[in-house]
Amino acid sequence: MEQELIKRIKLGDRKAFADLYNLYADYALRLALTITKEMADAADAVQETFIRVYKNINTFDLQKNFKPWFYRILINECNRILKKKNKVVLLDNYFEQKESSVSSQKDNYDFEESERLYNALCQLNEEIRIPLTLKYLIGFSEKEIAEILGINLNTLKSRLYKGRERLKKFLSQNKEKEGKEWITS
Amino acid sequence: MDNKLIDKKIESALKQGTDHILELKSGLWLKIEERLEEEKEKETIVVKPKKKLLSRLVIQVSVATVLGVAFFGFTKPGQAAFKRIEQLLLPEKTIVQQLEGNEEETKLTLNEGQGQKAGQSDDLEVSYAIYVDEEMYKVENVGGKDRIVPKLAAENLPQVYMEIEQVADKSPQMLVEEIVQEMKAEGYQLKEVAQVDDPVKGTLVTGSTGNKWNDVVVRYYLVDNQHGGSFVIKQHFFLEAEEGHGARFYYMLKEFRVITKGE
Repeated sequence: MEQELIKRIKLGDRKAFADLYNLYADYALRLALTITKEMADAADAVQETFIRVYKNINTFDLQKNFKPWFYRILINECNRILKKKNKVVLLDNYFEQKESSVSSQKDNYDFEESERLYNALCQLNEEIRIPLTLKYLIGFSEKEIAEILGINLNTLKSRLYKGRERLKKFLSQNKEKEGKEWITS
Repeated sequence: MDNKLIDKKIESALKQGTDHILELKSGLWLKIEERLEEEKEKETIVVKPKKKLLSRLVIQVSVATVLGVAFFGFTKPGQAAFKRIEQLLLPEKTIVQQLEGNEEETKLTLNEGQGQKAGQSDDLEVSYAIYVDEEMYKVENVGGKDRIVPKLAAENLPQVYMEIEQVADKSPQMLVEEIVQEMKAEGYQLKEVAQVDDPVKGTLVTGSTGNKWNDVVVRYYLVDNQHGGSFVIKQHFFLEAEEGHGARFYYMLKEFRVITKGE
C-alpha cells in the first residue's frame, strides 16, 4: 500500500500525499516531540519533513523501504531546529548537563507512573532516547534503527540495553520511593 | 522486574506522554498544503530582460560562441525550439530560490565548460553550460575539472564545492559501480543510488560520513552526454550546509545543459 502511495505521489497525486500524511503524521509528531521536547518545534519539524518528502520524492528509490528514509529526514529536521535554537548539546556533555537539572525536577513526581517514566525517558541522553523511541514507539527492528541512525548494530544494542536498564532502575527505585539517582548512574 | 513488563511500560509511557501533540495533526496538514502551494508558485523561474547583455567582454565572447552553437545545432526543430535555447543561454538569469525557508532572488551568470570530442567523431564536440551564482561562488579548475567553490570558505569546516567533469568514454551505467566503490574506500556510507529527473536527468549516488552536523555529504549526478560518455557532477559539503550550499548547488544544477557543437 505504501509503495503504491509513493508511486502516485511521484506522479504528483496530492491525494496520495494526504493519505501518506495520515499514515505517518501521528508517529512523526510523537517522535519529534520526544526529540525536541516542545510542541511548536515538533510541529515545525514534522511540517518541514513532509514538505521535504514531497519535494524530494523523485529521488526516493522505490526498491527501498520508505519508513527509514522518512524517519531519517525527520530526525535530521529535529536536529536542525534544535541547532538553530542552540539546543543541540554535544552528546558527551549532555549527560553532565542533565545531571544538574534532574534534581530540581525530582520533587514534582507526583503523577502517574507512566508520566513519570516518560519524563525520565525524556531526560535520557539523546543517543539513548532516540533509539528507545524508535523501538518502543514506532516498532522498528534493531537493524532498521541502526540503519536510520547510521550506527553499528552492536552499538545500537548496547544503547538500547543501557536505556532499558536505566528506566528499569528508575522504575524499581521509584516504586520504593527512593528515586533520587536513577538517571545518572 | 520482568523485561516484558518494562517494555510494555516504556511503550505505554511514550504513547501517553506524547498523546497531546496529536491535536496538532489536522491544523498541521492545512499548513503543509499551504506551503506546497507557495512552493509551487515560487518554483517558477523568472527570466529578466537582457539589461546587461554586453557588459562584460568575456560573457560576450562566451555567449556569442554558445549562441552560435545553439543556432547551428538546434535550427532543425524550428523557431520555437530556437527561442527556447536562446532564452536558455542568456548571459544572465535571475531565479527565485528557496533557502532555509526564505525566498531569495539570485542572479546567475552563464559559464561554459571545456569541450571534448564526442566518441569517435572528429566533428562533434560535447561541452556543457551552467549558470553560476557569482556573488557567492567562483569557478576554479582543479586537476582538469571545473569546480564551483564558495568565495568565502569557512576555516575548520569540510570543503564545499560542486565539481563538473566530463568522462568521454564511460556511460553513467558504467560509472556507477566505480563511484560506489570509490565512496566506500573513502569511508562514506552509501545512502542512495537512484534515477532522478530533478535537478538534472541522470543517476544520483549519495553518501555521507555520518549524521553529525559537520559530517561530509557527497552527491554524484551522472548525466549522459548523449555520445557514449558522461558528465560527473559531484557536490561535496557538510550536513549542516545542506540547506545553504546544498540548496544553492541544486538551483545552479537545475540550469545545467549538455551542449553538442558541430551537429
